[in-house]
Amino acid sequence: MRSSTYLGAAAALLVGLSAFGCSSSASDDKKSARNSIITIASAVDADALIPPLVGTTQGKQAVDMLFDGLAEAKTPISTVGDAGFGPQLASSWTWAPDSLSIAFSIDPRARWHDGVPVRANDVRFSFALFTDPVVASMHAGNFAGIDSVSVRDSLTAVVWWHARHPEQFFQIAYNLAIMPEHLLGKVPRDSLLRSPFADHPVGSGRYRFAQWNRQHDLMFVADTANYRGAPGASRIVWVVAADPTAASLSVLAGQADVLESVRGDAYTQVTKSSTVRAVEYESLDYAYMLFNHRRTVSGKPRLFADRALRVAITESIDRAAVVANALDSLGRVALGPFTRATSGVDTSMRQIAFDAAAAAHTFDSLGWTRKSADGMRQRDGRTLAFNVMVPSASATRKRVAVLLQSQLKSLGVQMDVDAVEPQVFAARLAKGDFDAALNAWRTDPSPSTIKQVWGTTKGADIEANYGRYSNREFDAAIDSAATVFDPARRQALYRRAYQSIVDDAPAVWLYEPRNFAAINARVSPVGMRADAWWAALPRWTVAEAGTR
Amino acid sequence: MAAFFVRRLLHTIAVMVIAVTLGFSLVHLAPGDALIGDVTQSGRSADARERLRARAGLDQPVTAQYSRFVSNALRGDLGHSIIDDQPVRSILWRALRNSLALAGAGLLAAIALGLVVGSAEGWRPDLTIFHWLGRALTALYALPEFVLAITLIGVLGYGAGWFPVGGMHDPVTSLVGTTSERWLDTARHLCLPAMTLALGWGAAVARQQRVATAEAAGEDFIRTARAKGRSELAAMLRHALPTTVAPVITVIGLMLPAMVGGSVIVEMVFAWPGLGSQMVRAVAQRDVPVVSGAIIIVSLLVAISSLLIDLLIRVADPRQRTVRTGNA
Repeated sequence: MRSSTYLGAAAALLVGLSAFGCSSSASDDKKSARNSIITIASAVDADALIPPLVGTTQGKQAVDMLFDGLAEAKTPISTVGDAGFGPQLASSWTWAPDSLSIAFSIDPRARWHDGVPVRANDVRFSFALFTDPVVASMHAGNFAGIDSVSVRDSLTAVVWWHARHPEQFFQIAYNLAIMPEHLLGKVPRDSLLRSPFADHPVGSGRYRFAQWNRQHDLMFVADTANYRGAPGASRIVWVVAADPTAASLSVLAGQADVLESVRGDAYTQVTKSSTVRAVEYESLDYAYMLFNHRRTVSGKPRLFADRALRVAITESIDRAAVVANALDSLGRVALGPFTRATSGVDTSMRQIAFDAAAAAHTFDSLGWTRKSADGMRQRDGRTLAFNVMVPSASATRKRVAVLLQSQLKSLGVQMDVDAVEPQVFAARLAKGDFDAALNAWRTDPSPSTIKQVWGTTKGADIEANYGRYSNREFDAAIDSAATVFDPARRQALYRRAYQSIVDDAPAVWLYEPRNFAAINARVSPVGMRADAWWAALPRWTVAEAGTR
Repeated sequence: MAAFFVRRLLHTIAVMVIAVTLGFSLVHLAPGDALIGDVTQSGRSADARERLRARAGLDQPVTAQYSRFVSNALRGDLGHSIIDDQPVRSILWRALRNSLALAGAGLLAAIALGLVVGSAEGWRPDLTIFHWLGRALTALYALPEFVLAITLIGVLGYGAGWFPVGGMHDPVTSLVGTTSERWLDTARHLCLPAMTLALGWGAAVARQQRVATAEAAGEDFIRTARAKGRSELAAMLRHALPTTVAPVITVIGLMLPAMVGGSVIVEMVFAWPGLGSQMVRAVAQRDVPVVSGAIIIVSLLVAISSLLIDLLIRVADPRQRTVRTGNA
């Protein structure tokens, strides 16, 4: 009897806990209201909601819903001229006869979410904010070559360039998010994130800000009176999950509708699900093993400055096998420092093929011969050995590193894997403190921005050319392509640049991941672009009778 | 008593100074930089990075940064996060509030579970059911927290669908729900992480309680109570239990700061936005002001909770009161 008293107390505790779960289901009305919400699972929270200060993809997704640009990019995106764009905040635009300026006519119906009309001075203000050195925006470089923005009248903003080039329109329309001067104009530029606006942003997009619980959730509601019409879903919610696995489980369990990328087991689960489907969209990501061209390796200064050696290492690697082993069908062999979705890429361009015999011959001819007892190649008593740095947070790249290590070992090249924490990886990459590194890169829609990563740099600012690579032929071809208007000639120049860098092998081009989003069947996505799958999110629709 | 407080206060200050200095130095010694940015896409120019470094004071010598941090902290200003420029105080307060809710719920459930199972097992070791209940709890204690968490998620979350498997609340309910709906929603989200903590820590309480209760059961005052005709339940609750709580309170005192600052795994698995997960994120991002502020909070919690425990033991254990009176 007494024991049952104790048991009863324990049981009461458990029942009490369970009761929370059973007693709190939402009403039918609220369930129905929830059917028009799109919930996006993410392993990372947005970093900021003020466009110049956004540095993460999640932040970009959010500000793209809140803030409009002057024109809207179509799918697929085109960076040359204005044919690939439709009206957004600007209802129309006029090119100057010399093409050195474009006058944008602001849609008179456009309003900020606080009701104030959007005006041309907001465009001028936004440009000033993005390019102000005090703001230190990581996007400031996107406006290089733009001289200024002037206001012709309250509804006409004129953007001026120093020199004409094919991507002028793309440059301003794609990169400039228009922000309200009346709310941000008086905020000190060095403390924008401390302003009330940072927590309650006001934009002109088809969604307006609702709430942001940092590291937990971010919610926007439809701006039903928007000048471009109400969006498809009544709300968009980003929910921060513990990690990518938890995020994929939340989609599979129906607690979230969208996850931008699923890989491995999660992809398999999605393909078996009756309520969630995998939707492929193009990728602008590629991964590569970068050589440090300035580093002393195996006792030899600037070992990887030797093109023949780099080519031999590339020939030693069966990239197709590596990709098949590490990514199965969720990746493709990379073609170069671009992806198949990059505008104008010729997928049939010449590649350095896997050829173990040719590689061995090159190593021998360079003096790296297999004389040691362990079968490793040596020259002047030094083994041909290098470290490859890998971010420990990337399971795929760690797996790839092990496969590369095995393949290179069979040809007598010793590659040691150095898995380091992401912050350490970034710091060492920036400082050039590595022999080789397995890095990944997300390219810009504009092919000319390839220069930031692979172009010859001057002085201490290496931009993203972490390997300190220099190829004058490549530089010249890219520079010319960026200024040529004739499409055929432009294409030919890019092709020459791409072929030049692929032949020169400054890195081993490893893989392009294939992007699969997990999307609940009740959600109908449209316009998922390679550079921004969320670009047309306001046009996504949600079925009334859902599975959730 | 005054001397006791002064001694403990000095001890607390010394602990905090050492903890903050160590934390500050270690984060600075670690390679990496909060402003290095993402190496997978275009970032800031070198000029812009230097400007931000100067603004955050990272261009100054570590000793200057440290002395500035300490002098500001003494005035109650913990500075701003390097990552999102939010006041560290509000970041940590938000996280601490969430951690306290989780730790409080976990602690209460652990105490209830541990006291019930431990007392029953210690009082009636002859009953098999209590014996096996105690063993089962010990087995749960032996499990790594993440295994227990994932099991609960699988069984009660995805399996039975009773509880949400992550987060602290449903965003829609928190925006449009009534106050009671929001409370209930948070309680539902609290269930699985609190249960994970309670099942693990409840075993520690139960083990302590079992030993203390078994010892008390053989004491003269219990025999006297029985001889006076007290029921078994009354003898245990009114006579044995008060003498057994002192060691249990010590265990609980040790749990509280660990639960607040150290339930990192539970917070990470359940995406609970608490102090533990905030600290992990800040360390990974090399956000020195947040890390240093969090160390101050956690060391303060440890000091306060150990002080409270000492006081509670003096109040709760009748034998301690007797000894004190006798000495006086």
